Amino acid sequence: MTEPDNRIPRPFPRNHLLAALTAEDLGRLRPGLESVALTIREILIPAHLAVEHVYFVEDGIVSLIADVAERRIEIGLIGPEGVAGLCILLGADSSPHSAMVQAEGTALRLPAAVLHAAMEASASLRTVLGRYVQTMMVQIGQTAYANADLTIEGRLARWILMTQDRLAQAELPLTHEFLSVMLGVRRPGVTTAVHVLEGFGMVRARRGRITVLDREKLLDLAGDAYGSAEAEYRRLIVEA
Amino acid sequence: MRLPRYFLNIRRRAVLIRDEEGDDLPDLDAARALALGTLREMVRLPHVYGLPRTWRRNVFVITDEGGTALLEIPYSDVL
Repeated sequence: MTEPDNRIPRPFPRNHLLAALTAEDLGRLRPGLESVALTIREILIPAHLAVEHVYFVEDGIVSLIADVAERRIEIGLIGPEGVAGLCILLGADSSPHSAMVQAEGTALRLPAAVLHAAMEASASLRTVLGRYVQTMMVQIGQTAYANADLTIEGRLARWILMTQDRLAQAELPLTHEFLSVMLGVRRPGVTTAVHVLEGFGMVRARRGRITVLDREKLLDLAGDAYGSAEAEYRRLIVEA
Repeated sequence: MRLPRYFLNIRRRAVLIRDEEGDDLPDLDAARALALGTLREMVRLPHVYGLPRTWRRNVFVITDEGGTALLEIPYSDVL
């Protein structure tokens, strides 16, 4: 008989990475896991500061953000499929990129030291987390490709698809302010891009919300910028 | 003191694309500066926004919280 642990909500684990771990590896992490609420705009991991915890997201979305001069631009998204605090997985104590909550929800937080110790002890844990880092490298690479090759509308389509994947619902809490960070443009620049997607019948936009109407059309617009990171995740985490 | 909110709507041909969120800014001059800054960004980043000829006839229509139009800035002002 194991002792009930009230800190961790059932069903467990809702985070797909934790679900992909062996029972033994999950057991190594479990004593350190603590459920926390993710509040919109909360900075989970500030740039350049020692990372105390990693966050296995259960619901909601965390953005990886590069702060450049006075601008912020999103470089990656993490939802229930992943963990925020990649630098810890790679043996670094901090990162120049920050992690900010973009859609509220919950996460299981784990002290960096507990994760380090567990990774030291378990090759199978290192493999799963290493594979996850690979999927993030592909995702961030696809962000670079999208930013170099797609117009604002194509990039918007890609972020909407990625947001929908992680929230698993049609109505997405995406304000123009957040979209401007996603797209690396000033907020008024987002207005026409959203209007164009509405004109194509891809989405409906209402104050602070974007509802996906036609995912196929969004896929066409995002083109090659969307899909390979998602396929890599399926190959390395889901089907492995 | 709460800052007033300004809405940067866009008139494109006969259509008014409403800005439903707006920005909290100190005054109308700041709203004008935001509009001009956005337009300069659009000129600087044609690979993002498309070529200026696709949007040069648009006009920013800046309104206050009551919906009153305060200022119009044709995009062609920065071309």
